[in-house]
Amino acid sequence: MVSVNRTATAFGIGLREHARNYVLVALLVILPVSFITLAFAVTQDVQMPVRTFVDGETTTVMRGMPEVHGVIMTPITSSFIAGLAGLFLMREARDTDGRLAVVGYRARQVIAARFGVLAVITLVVVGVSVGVMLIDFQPEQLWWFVAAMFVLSVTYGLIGMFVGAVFNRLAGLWIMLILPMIDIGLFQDPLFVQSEPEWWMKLFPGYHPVRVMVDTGLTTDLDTAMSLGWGFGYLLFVGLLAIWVYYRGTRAT
Amino acid sequence: METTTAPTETVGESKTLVRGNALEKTYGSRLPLGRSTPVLTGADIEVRAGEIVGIVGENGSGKSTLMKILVGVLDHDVGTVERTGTIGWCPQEPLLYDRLTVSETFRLFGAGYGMSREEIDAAKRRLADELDFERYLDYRVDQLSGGNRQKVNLSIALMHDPDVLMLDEPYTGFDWETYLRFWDMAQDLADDGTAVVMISHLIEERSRLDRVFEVRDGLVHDVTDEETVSELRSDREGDDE
Repeated sequence: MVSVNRTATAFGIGLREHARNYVLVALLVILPVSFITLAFAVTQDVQMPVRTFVDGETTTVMRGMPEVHGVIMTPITSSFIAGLAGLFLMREARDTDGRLAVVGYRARQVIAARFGVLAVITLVVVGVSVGVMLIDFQPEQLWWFVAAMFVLSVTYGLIGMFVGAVFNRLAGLWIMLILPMIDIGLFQDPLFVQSEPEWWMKLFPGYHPVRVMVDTGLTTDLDTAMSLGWGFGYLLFVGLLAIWVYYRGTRAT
Repeated sequence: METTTAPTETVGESKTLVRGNALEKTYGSRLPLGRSTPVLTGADIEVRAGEIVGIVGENGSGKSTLMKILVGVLDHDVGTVERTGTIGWCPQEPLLYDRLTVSETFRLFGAGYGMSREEIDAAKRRLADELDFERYLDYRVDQLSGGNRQKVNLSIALMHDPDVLMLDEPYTGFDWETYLRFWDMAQDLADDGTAVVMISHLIEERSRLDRVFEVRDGLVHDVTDEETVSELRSDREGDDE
C-alpha cells in the first residue's frame, strides 16, 4: 500500500485549517473595503506632485491624490493581512508542529507545506485587494504592479512568521499593525517623502516594491525592473530568516 | 548532545529499546542576566520491550523534560540517547490543531507515520471504537471536551502501533470507564512487546507498573522496590491526620 504524501497532506490540511480561521477571513472581507474603498471615497481629487523614477532618474510628476492613495493603501492592506497570516501561522506552528517532527515529518516537508500555505493565502489577499482597488483605480501596468505587490506581501507574511517566533501574540499583532503603516504609508509614500528617502528608510521591506508600484501604477513605462529584483532579494533574505526561526521555534516544544 | 537510532543490546529476555545516558539539561534565560534552571544533571534511564515503566517525581522535577528528550522533541545539553524502533508520544497538553476535525487529525499524523490511507482509516476506526469517540470524528478539535481531546491525543500516539509508547499523564480528563479501558490497552500493548513509559502522579497505579523511576535532584533513581519521596511524604501526612 502506498503511504500518503506528507508534504501534500500537510499543505492541503493546512489550507483547510486556515480557511477556518474566521479572524483571517473577516479581515480579508472587511479590510480591503474599509482601507481601499474608503480611501478613494474620502480623498480629495486634486493634483499632487509625486516622486517617481523615470529614465534612470528620480523625478516629480503630477497625479491625482486618489490615484496615489490607491497605489499606497492597496499594498498596506495586503501586507497587513499577509503579515497577520504569517504571525498566526507561526504562533500555531510553535505549539504543535514539533509533534509532526516526532511522528516522522522531515523539517523540509513541514516548512514546504507551511510556506506553501502562506503563499496561497498571500495570493488570495493580493487578489482581493487588487480586485477592490480596480473598482476605483486601474494601474497603468497592472501585472508589474501586482508582481511587486505580491513580492511585498509575501515579504510581510514572512516577517509576520519571524515576529510570531520572537514575540507573543499581542505584541506580534501590534508590530504587524504598525510596521506596514509606517513603512509603506509613511516612509515610502511619495506624498509624505517628496525627495529620495533617507538611507535608513530604504532598509524597510517596502522601499523597492513600492518604488515599482508607484512607477507602474502611475506611469506607462517600466523604469524600476531592478527594484523588483532587489525586492525579490529582500524576500529571499527574510525567507531564509523565517526558515531558521521556524526550525528553532518548532524544536523547543 | 548525541542521539542515535542504532540497535541496543538485549538484557536478559527483553531488548532495550530506549536508553538515555548521563543526560543533562538546563533551561536558559533569553535575557542576558536572567536565571538559568538546571533540570537534569546526569540522568540515566533504559526502557526494555514489553514492560510498563512509570516515571514519578515532584512537580518541576524534570519528568516531562526527560520524556521530551527521550522522544527527541527537545534537545539535551550533554549525554546520549539511543532509540530503537518507532516511537509514539502523547504529550501532557494535547498538541493538536484546533481547527482540524478528528478525522483530518488522524490523516495528518498518519501521513507522518508513513501509513497508507487504508491503514489510517483502520487505525482511526479501531481507536475510536476502543476509546469511544466514534461520534466525534467529524467534530473539530476545538469543539471537543477536554476528555475527548485527550482521547484523540492518546490515539495519535497509538495509531501506528509503536514499539515504544511515551505517555505524559495520558489519562487527564478521562472518566473512570475510559481510565480502566486505557490500562487494559496499555497492558495488551506491553504483552505484545511494546515498551510503555508513563509519567504518573497516582500512587495507586504502582501495582500496574513493572518498574518505577523517580526523577529527583536532576537524576533518575530506580525506586521499583522503594517508596518514592512523594509517597513517603503522603504516608507522613496520613500518619499526622
